[in-house]
Amino acid sequence: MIEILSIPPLATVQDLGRHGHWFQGLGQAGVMDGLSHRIANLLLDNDESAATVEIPLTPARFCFRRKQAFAIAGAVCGARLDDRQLPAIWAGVAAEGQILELGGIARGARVYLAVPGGVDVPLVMGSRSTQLREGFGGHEGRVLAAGDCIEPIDDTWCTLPAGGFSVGLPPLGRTIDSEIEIRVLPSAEHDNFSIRSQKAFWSTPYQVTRLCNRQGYRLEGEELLWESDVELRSHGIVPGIVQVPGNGQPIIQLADSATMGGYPAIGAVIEPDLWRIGQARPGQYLRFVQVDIHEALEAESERRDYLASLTASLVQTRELLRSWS
Amino acid sequence: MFKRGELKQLIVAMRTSGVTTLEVKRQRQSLRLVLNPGPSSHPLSVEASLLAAGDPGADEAPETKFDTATSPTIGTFLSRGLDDGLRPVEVGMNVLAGEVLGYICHGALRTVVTAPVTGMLSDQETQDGDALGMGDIVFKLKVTT
Repeated sequence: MIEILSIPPLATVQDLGRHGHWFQGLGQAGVMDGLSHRIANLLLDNDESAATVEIPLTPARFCFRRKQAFAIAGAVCGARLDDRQLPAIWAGVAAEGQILELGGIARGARVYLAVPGGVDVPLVMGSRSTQLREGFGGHEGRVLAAGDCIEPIDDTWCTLPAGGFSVGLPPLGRTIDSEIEIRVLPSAEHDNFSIRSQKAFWSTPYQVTRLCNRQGYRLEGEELLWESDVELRSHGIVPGIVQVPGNGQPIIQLADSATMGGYPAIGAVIEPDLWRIGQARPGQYLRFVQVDIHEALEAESERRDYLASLTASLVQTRELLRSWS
Repeated sequence: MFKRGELKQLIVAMRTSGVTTLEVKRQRQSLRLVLNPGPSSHPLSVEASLLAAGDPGADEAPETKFDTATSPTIGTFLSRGLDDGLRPVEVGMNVLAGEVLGYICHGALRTVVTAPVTGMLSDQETQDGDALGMGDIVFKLKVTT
């Protein structure tokens, strides 16, 4: 059991989302960075859909009330286990009484904390994700606070080396401070934007503003002009849709997005790149790269291969460690 | 070793207790005080000499101990500090027991190499990309605790 000693608001229990209820007006919720979430789970030999704690603000402190394995993945935040610095991605065992501290975020935007078997909260409508707007799911349907306890589903854990495991994440951008490239499929209303707007969307960077949360990220950049006389009725939207309201500044709908919207959409971020947005901070720039459906499927395949390769390495290394112990 | 006032106190104590010879040894230094016998009305005379370091019986310097950080598995070495959010390590740096020193890579997976003791990194025995087996030395450390 892990007791939360201190944590800023907005940390929630999330898994890969609550699917199949869109037609009822219920969004999927789920993690903002599916890649880090999956990696944290794989390092503990959890199912990739096991619930983790998504922490978008630090610093935070946790106390291990008993000896337990755990994993962290995502943003670089100067994590420490007692006086020992941890890499941004790490899985290992904490002794009873040890303190895990997450410091200020230096790179990225969210840290994921995984425990053996996943965070033990009730399964509601097929998921353990927190629906903040609706007030259910996750830990009592709310954000986590000091005094809350994170219980793992499993009391035991997989083989872990004494020093722990780590993983190298793909870089967000080409360099630490450079723009983050996001692959996007043109959406149904793309051609109804002015030619100049289409060129601007695909060739100029858009800055993440401070108006960003789990529902969506408001961006700022070249104005995008809708050139159709047709009034759009509200229609279904999904996470990743890039909407353009009347002010011409795009909004990317994300994990807690509404299920319907009436703004025209210029594109849709491919699912394998949504994690990059989840790790983008206000002030950083996004640059949209146009892809087609085949390239999108290839990106999905690459992600699947990367995770499969990581799983295979974990299986082989654990086997070796067990044989040597 | 002793200040002038402390030496005077030692001499008084020796005179009072009837001790005529006193030897004090501390680490690399030694002091030998010899009181010349005589009536109390005669002035005291003291022979004090500092014995050279290495004198038999002098305390020996503590032995420097070394330890090694070894590879916990099979793979290729990767330095800490490239993309993990940690500061790079370098020879001469002080590290704590259990601290991350680097990684042994197998595909995307990294098994962490840690410091076995608190100490100073005295030698780095491997470079990025070197293939290592379990137990191969990665770093040598001078033990400081």
